[in-house]
Amino acid sequence: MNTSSSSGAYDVQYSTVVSASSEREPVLPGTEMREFDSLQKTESFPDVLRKAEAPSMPNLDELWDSAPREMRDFLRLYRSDAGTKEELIRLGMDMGSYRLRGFTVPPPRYIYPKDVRDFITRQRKSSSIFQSISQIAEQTNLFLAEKEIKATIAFDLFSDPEYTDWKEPRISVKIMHLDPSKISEFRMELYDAAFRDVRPKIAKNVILHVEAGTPEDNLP
Amino acid sequence: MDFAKRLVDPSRTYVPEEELRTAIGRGYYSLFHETFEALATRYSLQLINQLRKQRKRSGLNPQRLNRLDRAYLREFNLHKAFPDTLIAIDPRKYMGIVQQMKDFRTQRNKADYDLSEKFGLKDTRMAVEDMDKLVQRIRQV
Repeated sequence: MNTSSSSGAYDVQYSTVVSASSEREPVLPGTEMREFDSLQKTESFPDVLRKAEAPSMPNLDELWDSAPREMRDFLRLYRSDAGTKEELIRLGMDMGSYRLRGFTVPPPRYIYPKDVRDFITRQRKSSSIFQSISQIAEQTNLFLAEKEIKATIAFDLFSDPEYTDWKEPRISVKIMHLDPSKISEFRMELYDAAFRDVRPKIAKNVILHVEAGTPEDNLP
Repeated sequence: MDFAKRLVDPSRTYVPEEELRTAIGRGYYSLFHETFEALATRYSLQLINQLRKQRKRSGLNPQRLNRLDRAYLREFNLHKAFPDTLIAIDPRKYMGIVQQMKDFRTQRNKADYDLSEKFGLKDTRMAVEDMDKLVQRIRQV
């Protein structure tokens, strides 16, 4: 079987599965991904897809609740503007069908401005820093999504005007349509949620800056 | 902190922007001094360790550092050392405080150096209130 075009972590798993199954019987071209999915032990996108495509479609709430928590979190993250369960389930179905066709699901992506990227790249263990910053951003996003708070999240670089060697990557959260007094009510809770399971050595060199949007943005 | 609170007192309906900027600065430095007192009295070893890390590559005066000599400490970045010390003491417990301190440092820098930034009374009043609450928490560290 030709798997030479495969690359990346997902494809490594895939080729392992294919070679294991090929010991039993040859796999027909085009059926490899189905073979892979059938070997998945945990409920995945295609499992939900099958449920959703069943002739008697279950109640949306039941379908949503039956999906693994990670998947629900992922979907909320992936498209925070797809608010209703139906839209999110539909998105999950689309992703499932992409995966059946052999594409990997694109992870949520955060764009790092060049100065931030360059700064982190120069640090030791830069990949851990990138990973942790994305994790903080995702956990922030989830926290805000659960509270149905609209916000923008952007990365930039904190530099102190009085200490020129003090620079830290910063995650700036600008909260929209909310009175500043409301923000201070959940600020501490947000920090706790955002930094959950982030290594202290990295967390101490990252800033999560939370602020209200412009006065116009804060009008209800 | 009292001065900062007076500047944004709820009885005042209009406060000039320069006073709002002053209120942010005074509030932040109140927090800074309270943090120093709390750490120097209860966690001086951890604070000294963090300061020592800042001077890893250059010479330091251990006697003056161990005494937490205020004049000598001006050579260090205490604004960075305080949050780092709190993280070293208990990262889970103090992460919120640390992040809020850094947030206020950002606001103070904007108040003192960034003239393009606009300061509104409502936001500043809220920030001073939050700083005051943080001072209460710092006293309990």
